[in-house]
Amino acid sequence: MSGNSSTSRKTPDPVPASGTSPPLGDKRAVPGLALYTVLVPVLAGAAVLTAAACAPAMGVFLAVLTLALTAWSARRLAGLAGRAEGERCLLTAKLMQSQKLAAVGELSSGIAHEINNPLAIISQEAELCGALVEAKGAMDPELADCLAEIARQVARGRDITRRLLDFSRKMEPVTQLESLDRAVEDMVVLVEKEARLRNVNVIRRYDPDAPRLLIDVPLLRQAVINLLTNALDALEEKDQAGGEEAHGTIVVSTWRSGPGEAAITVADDGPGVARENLARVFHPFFTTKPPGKGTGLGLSITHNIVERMGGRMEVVSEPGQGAAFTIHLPLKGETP
Amino acid sequence: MKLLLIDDERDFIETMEKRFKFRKIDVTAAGSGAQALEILGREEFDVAILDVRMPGMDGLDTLKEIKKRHPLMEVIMLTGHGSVESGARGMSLGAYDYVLKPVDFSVLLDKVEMAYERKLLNVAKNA
Repeated sequence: MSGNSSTSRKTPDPVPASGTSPPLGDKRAVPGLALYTVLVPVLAGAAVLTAAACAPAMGVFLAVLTLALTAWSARRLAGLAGRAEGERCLLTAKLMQSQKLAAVGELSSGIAHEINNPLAIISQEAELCGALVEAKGAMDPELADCLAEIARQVARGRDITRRLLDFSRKMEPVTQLESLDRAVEDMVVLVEKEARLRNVNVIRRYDPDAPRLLIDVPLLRQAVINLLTNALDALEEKDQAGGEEAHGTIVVSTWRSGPGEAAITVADDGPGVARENLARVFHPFFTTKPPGKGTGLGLSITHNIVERMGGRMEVVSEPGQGAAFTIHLPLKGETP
Repeated sequence: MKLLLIDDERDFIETMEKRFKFRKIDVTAAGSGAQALEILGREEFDVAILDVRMPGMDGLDTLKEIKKRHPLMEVIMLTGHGSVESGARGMSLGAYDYVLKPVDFSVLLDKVEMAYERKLLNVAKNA
């Protein structure tokens, strides 16, 4: 029952967004190496020596055999080398993505700190300005309106800087044993009510044997509501593009994504993520929403939260067919 | 455990107070965000249940102030209308959970206990 949403959307290149190293099979290639570096050359040598000592017909046969053996061996070695190179590239890409996100995070928190001070001064000066005009008895509605607008925009700026600082704050998670669906359900209920008004169907596919995990419950809830908000926004985008028959579906599933892992997937059937944007969706300030609609921090904060909990995130999307965001969490706190 | 209930609906507060007291939980009620902050200035609490929609200082503003002054107290937000934006904001401001009304009392009690456990873990960590 679980995990359908993510498997049905599998595209060739899911973008891993975490530096945690996956179990790769490079070690498996090593035992086979002896076959190609020792056994095959010895056999070839033996065939040459035997050919020198026996009849020409047998020599031809041995030559063909040696040819086949060395060709096969070379082919296998080339395959192994290719696979190792592919795995190395994947690891490098993951590492680079992780480092890039860390650097961008650091940069943005620096900017947030710098911008907070001028914001504070602007709001104080605006307040003082209002008080001065008021004291002179010269306050008119238009001026009051202007000052209120300044205060509103400062508050908006502050909200962004606060979220940026939250994003880079390295608070240690406080973990409690909780089952995944219980941690997720309240956020789903919350979203479901608004989703219904927007003609969006929310489907739950919780794993009935969901393990209990050691997780930072409110942090995980924050990550989940960010994914749900994102899915709702994506469906709204489709609504605007598709006219009246458009109505969307969000599937929330909990499932076992590996032997030591549990996962939550939030999938929508919205417009999906363009291929060229897949690698950037977790970057702070990256957004495809119209100006003023989103700061582009939701997914990067989510990614950050998940990494802090020792997990990793993945996005799978086929343009035009929706997107599935998955949070993978380690099963370290599982109870028997 | 010391619990603070913050809601402007008297009836709701009264029933909740009764039910928590029946479970031997030390509960105090506040009728507004401002009153809650005033009580919190005098006394320390472990968990608060905070209504999102209140006249004057609303739930999110109250949450922001609470988290600024008493970061270790856990806050469970109660809302009658499920607004996704408000939920996302509440969680990013550090709420423990965001629960849609009407909520089953045993479920709420369970959440209060989980929130209390988290508070104790946090206190131990910061000690």
